[in-house]
Amino acid sequence: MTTRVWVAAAIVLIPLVGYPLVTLAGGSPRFPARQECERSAVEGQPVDIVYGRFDDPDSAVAARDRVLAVGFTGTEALPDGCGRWKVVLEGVPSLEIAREVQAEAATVDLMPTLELGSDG
Amino acid sequence: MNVHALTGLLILNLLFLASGLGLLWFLRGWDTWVELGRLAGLAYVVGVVTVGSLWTLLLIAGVPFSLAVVLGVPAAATVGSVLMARRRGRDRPRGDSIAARTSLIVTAVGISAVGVLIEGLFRTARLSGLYWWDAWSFWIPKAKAIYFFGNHDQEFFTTLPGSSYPPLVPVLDVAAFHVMGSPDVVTLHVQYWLFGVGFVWALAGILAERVPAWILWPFVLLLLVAPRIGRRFHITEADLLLDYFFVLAAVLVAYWILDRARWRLMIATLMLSGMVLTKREGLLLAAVLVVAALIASARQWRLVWPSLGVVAVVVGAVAVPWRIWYVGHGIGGEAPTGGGLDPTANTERLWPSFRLAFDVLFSSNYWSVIIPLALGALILAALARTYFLAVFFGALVILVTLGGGWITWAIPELEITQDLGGNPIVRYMGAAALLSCAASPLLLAAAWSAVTVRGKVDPA
Repeated sequence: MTTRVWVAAAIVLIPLVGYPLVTLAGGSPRFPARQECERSAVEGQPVDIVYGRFDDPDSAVAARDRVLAVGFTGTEALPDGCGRWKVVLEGVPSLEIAREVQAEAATVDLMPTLELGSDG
Repeated sequence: MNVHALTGLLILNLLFLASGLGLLWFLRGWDTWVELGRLAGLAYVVGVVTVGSLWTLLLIAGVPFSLAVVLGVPAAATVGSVLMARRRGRDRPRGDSIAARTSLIVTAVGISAVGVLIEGLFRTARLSGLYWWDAWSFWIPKAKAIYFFGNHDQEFFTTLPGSSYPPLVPVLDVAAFHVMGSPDVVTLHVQYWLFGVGFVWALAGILAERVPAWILWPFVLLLLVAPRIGRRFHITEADLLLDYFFVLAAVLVAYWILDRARWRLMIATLMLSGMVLTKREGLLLAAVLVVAALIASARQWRLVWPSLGVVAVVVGAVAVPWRIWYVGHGIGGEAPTGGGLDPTANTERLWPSFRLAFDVLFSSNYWSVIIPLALGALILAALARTYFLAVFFGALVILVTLGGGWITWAIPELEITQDLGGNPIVRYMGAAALLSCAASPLLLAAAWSAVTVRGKVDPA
């Protein structure tokens, strides 16, 4: 091969190999972990009362029905934005009220967690 | 899962490539490995359109669309083509040295710049969501229905929007779903990016036969940076795929009229057949391409027109099964009410409709500077007396644009607007823009060649 052919090959290969290498040197694309959808409740912000997370909507709906059956109205089964489904009462106005609901739920063997509200 | 999906797509696309390479080996033969490399992009698109059309016709015929069909059809097409090529006495491509001309460096710079841009587009394609209206409202739902049910579920298909659209695009999606192992609508964007890469390679490969590198590569780059072309490579809709087939068919038909190599017309016929199985606009675009070829070849009509007639018959025959299917299932037709041929109907829409089509054609928001450059190339080619290419591509762009005006005029339900929700004119006119980008380097090269040859013959 002549020098000119080698130069042409270098002109093609160096940028085509170099660009992805430089890009990947900054790290591969980052995806949110599932835990990042579970943000702790904050004083002064709306609170979500979460009764559980599930991998499929059928399990979430069944769990929601159990929660509704013991009187916690307004509870819904919704996608959590991280590939799972959550059973949740959204938009409780304060942490104090949310804790009261949490304590009441414990009396019927439900163990909800308190999370930062979806619009909080 | 990601590795599985990407590996599956790799295998599927290698099957497309193998089918096309085999078919081109049978139809035209391969002289050298360098030639094979130059035309590998065309081979890939030929594989996509051939295998995709066969899958589509099998689905319409009621054959369950399973993984076995997805893998079996391209495998059979490859083996069949290779056997026929061997029977026809085709030789294997031979080794060939790359000519170390100055144009080699220009070509290398062009490939490098285009390659880096395409790599950049991959980053968008790899993790794109399903954001585009037609994609999530009916193209992907149709594909998912075929994937899960294995066939054309009548109730589902007759109630979706765009129910009269032919199913080639959903079928290609389903093939990707099967090899990816799930209906992964995120990774599916990589498949469409690959269609775009294949098209760019195909176009550059066939244009390089007649266009010097210094004219060719700026236009390939222009295509990639045009807002509604390169930046939409990954979108899982039918518009660009249809345009790819149309533009390659147009260039091949032009070449065939110039050099009469029959394989070009055969491949163009495959592309045109794919068009009528991709979108209903495919019928209109195929028709205007044949009409433009008839106009441009009028002086050689005895030699050219009979073959164009055969092409029209073949493409019409390929279009029939899908039309039988949807008419048989009570779906409204593709043509406007009354056929859209009554010149006294909707007269108040006539001028606004055609003006809309020309406004879209000349919009730099959609196509950057493609159209002004094409107009300049057309004028230069005419001044250099390279009339055939100027008449063919000029007539084709005008006919496509008039077709766009006709659609708006003949379907009163369409608003006179460039808004995608009210009128498909911007989608449709992509065919004229992409064609203009492909034709410009050919026209300029023809003009340059004519002027330089005349200069050598007559220096005065």
